[in-house]
Amino acid sequence: MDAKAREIDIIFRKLHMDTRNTNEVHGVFKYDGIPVVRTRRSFGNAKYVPADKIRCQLKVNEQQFAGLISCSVSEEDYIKILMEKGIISKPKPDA
Amino acid sequence: MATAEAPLVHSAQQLESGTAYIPAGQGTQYFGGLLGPQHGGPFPLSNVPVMILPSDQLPNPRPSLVLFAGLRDPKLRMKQAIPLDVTVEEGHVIVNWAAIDEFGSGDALSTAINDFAYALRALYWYLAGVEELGPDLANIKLTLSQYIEAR
Repeated sequence: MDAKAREIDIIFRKLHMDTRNTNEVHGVFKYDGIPVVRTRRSFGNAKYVPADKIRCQLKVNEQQFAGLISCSVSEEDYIKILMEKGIISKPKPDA
Repeated sequence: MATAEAPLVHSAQQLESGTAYIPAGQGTQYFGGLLGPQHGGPFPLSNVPVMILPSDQLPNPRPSLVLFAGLRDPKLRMKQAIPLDVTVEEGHVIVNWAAIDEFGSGDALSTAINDFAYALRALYWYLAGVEELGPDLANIKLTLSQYIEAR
């Protein structure tokens, strides 16, 4: 498997994304059961994985994307990133 | 990417139309070699300009933008064409619809567009089957509805 494809699979697993395999691997990140972000990567060694385009679909910058692949950005961190961008609604404060 | 490598041309000469006399017995030595200037042809002198450029200065024959309407799903109809940016990364062609961050990739423009069509169909049907979506995916679904409709 291509190194970039492996890196995308690391992100799929770290974020516990719902994945389905067709001609490609489609991944959906859900928050409170609601799909909020989707991405995909192609199967096969010969398939090119445009990491930058996948990064855009995941709504992170290059540093955050690198952190998702390594250890520095956790699933909780990712949720905070998406909250700051308004992609996930912030939880209402307890009354 | 499967592209033919152009031979390096150091110098070139545009020959006029006409005929050249090759002495008997010497014909084979001209094959693969240079023909001399030709004389006495029935055609007027050529006015076709010729420009020899190094390969890194050749104009890019691939468009930077294409309009996509080839969804290839009998259950879907395109309402308007989708503008796709065309770029090349590491020898692979990438087409990208910036409005929804959807892309396709391939060894050539046609395969990248096919990949995009596949991704777009999959995305459309996935979003169509989900009632509640986050704001970004809801916006993508709304954008898709402006370009694609079910038959």
